[in-house]
Amino acid sequence: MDKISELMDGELPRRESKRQIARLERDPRLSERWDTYHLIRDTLRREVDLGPTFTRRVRACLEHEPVLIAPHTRIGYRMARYALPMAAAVAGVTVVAWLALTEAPTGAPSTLAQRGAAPAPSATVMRASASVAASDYLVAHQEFSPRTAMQGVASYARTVTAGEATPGQ
Amino acid sequence: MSDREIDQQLVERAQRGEKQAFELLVAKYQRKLARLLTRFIRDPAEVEDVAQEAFIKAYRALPSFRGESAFYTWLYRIGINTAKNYLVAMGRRAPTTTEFDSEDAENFEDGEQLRDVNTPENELMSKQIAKTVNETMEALPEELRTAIVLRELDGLSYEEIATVMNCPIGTVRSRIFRARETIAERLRPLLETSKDKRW
Repeated sequence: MDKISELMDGELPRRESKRQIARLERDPRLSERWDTYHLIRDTLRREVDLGPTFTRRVRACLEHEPVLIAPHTRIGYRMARYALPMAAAVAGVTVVAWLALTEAPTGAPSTLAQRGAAPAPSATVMRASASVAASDYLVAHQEFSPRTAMQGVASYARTVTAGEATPGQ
Repeated sequence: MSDREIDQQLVERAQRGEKQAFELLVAKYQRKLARLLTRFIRDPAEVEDVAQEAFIKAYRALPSFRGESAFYTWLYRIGINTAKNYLVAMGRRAPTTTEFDSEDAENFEDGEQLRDVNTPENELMSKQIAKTVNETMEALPEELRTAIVLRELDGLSYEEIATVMNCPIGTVRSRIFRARETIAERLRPLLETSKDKRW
């Protein structure tokens, strides 16, 4: 009984509160005490008493009500509030990362230009890679160049690279 | 666990099919809800009917309660809507929404004149209960009376009461429990007389 007194005052730790609530539901003696303690509280606070039949009437009505089988809404609400935005953020980062990796090739300048071409000599490939790396560096830092008329705009411009066409293409 | 968290626990249990959990909420809030309804409806029998309907509506709507507000704030809104619908159905004027803002739910206070509303058959019982509670309070040892008054009327926590009364918190727990038990024991014959009615 003393635990019920502490429970209704909100003075029990979480785990103990849950245990006592479970006991309250099972033990009619305890639930009767819960009711009496609240009656005392409400009488001291001069609340309106609905009379001795009220609880019985509501209980009788509830007996005819179907048993609720609802999902654990608080968890659902927490899921909606925290987990879903987090999942959306992760998905967003993944998409951006995928786009960045697929649209910024670090290898040969264009696969289309090379399609159907004979394998190039290894010396040419090395030169092309070095050239592309330098080109990427220059493009990335173009907006800081004192020669650029509109500084800061370069990053928004789409850069097109062109490779040397192999004769016969 | 705070009062709101306890209510949330009871709601979640009721949502999982434990009707008894909802009955504990009914036991807890029936008088507070009745006090709210007396602002709309004067007739005591009608207050009982509307309160009952509000609780049943709340039970049916429980799957949609997500715990974004306190249970009583939610119940308060249902109570107001039920009372308004009742008045409209009876062809009486319902107060406007602005007259009763749900934000007032937690700090809702009424005038003295509303507190003695009761049906004739319940009035005697209510008076006897109030008389017994008050007489027992007067007869309590001072340390028990002070502890329960600080808790129930001033709303102090056990820690605050321990500071005010200059005693360990365990002593506060014991004093409040003993005060409640003493009053409950004095009420027992009265409640058992009407046991078939009350429980």
